[in-house]
Amino acid sequence: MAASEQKQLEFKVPNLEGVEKPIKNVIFRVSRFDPDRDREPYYRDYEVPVYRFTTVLDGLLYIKYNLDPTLAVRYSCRMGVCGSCAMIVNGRERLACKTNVLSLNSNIVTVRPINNLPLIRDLVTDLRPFFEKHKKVMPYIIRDDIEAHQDREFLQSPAELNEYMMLTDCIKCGLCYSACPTTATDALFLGPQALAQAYRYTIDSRDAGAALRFDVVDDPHGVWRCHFAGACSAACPKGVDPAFAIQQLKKLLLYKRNAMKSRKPAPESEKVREGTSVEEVLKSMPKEWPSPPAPK
Amino acid sequence: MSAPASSGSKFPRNMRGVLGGWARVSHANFERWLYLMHRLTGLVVGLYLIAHLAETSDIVPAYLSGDENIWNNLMQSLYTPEAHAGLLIIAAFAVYHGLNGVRLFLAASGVGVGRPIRPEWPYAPVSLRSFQRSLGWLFIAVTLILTAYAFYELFVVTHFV
Amino acid sequence: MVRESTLMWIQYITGLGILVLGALHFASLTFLVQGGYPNALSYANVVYDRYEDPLWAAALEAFLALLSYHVFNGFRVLLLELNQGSGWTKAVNVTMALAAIAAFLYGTRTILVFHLGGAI
Repeated sequence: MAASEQKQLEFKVPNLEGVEKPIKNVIFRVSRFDPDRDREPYYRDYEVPVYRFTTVLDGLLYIKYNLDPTLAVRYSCRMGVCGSCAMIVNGRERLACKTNVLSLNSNIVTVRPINNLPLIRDLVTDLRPFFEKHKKVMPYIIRDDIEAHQDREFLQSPAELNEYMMLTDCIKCGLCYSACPTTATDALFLGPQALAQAYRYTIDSRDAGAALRFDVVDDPHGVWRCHFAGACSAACPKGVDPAFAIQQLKKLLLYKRNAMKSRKPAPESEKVREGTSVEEVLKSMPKEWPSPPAPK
Repeated sequence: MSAPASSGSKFPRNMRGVLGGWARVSHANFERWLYLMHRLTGLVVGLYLIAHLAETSDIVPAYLSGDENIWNNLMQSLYTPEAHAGLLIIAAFAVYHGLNGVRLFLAASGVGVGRPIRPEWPYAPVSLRSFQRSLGWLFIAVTLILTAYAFYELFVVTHFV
Repeated sequence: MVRESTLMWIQYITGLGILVLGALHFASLTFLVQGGYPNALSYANVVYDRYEDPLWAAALEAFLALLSYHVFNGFRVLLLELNQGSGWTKAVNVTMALAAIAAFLYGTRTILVFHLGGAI
């Protein structure tokens, strides 16, 4: 395709002209860092018109589209579900997409990446250590018969559900990890998110993996490096309460260690789930996946 | 844990350290202040214990040689408003650390951190508005009262009379 | 290898013990003494009323034992959180254990010299 024919990429900035007038212009003081050029992050100021419903993420995208296309910002859903746009706005851990600029009551909005995770570029941090710790606590149901009974549910009472339901709202944005005082110095500390998930799966009545998870969290850099500063719960944008979960995890380790290890997981329901059975699916699956066609 | 690819020197580790992490006070919630004070008081009282062991060991030579003045002279040199101000701080820190430690022990035993709820906007984490927070305020009040008593013993009856 | 939760359980229990014995320690310096604090640290009072009384000596010795563990395990927690280099954990654990034992023995010498009749 010739270069002249190539269609120019066009970013559509919401045009609110005639619908709304900007209420005021706000200075966005954005932390910038380019690993190839800079040794240290620095701040650069941008002037952004702010409407009634402009969020910090809208402001950053306005900068990216209109003022400085080199700004790197990670975002996805724009409605506080994916947890990609976690950053520190005016010194406080927030989701950029859920933070209304006018609600900050400030003419200068300082935006910088979250703490305690390696900085890749501008507002983007490397979340891999965070997710590695999440994986480390085995955030899934562990029991011997989980493969054999995939066509029926495990029984669970509403009370048993309530024990952990709050913690399932975690979107893994990393804000608690950024707010926690221990992660600020302890790179091996599992962090509030992973520990809360360890509790969430341990207390789940369908789970029988307490012994495995206790080995992970009962470590010199595990649950006991939490000193209940509560910063994680104060920072959480979804109302999850990691501080609560970690104290409960400590309680299990102190008082119910053996009871949890020998606890019988919830039984499976008598009722077979309708639809194709696992055996049928397995039967229809090819023994080997076809290899991709050779390049011509 | 294997080092992530971004651990090279090119990429800042971005960890806040002691001053920006442990001692971060901007937008700090109440429990975070208690946590910071717990660390500080524990460190100071712990270091004081070492000094206190060295100080009180002076009674051994006094006893062995039968010369009470070895001990009494040391006590005399420490009977000053400056030393008593230090003791007042130690007393206040020790009381705070002990009481807040009880709060932390209760929290680790699942007492005072509430019951799990379904989060509803506006979110208010249950552990940060449960009994342990009232306990924190109560213990601060008790610390202040006992510190006032320590002030009475260390200053009023010694230097002001 | 001792589990971390065992160490912290002992940390909590010693903490509670220190709270009780510490209150006694403060009381023994203030309102339990004739004349209050100005009188508390005289040689006569310290030696004859406290160190030579087996009950007070036992209480002080227990206080010292609990404190040695609690303080140096607390320092260990701080140091483990400060740095995570290779070998750091082991170095901290060993140093703090030795320091706790040293502090305990040194304080014990002060308390028990009166009962051993100057044998130390």
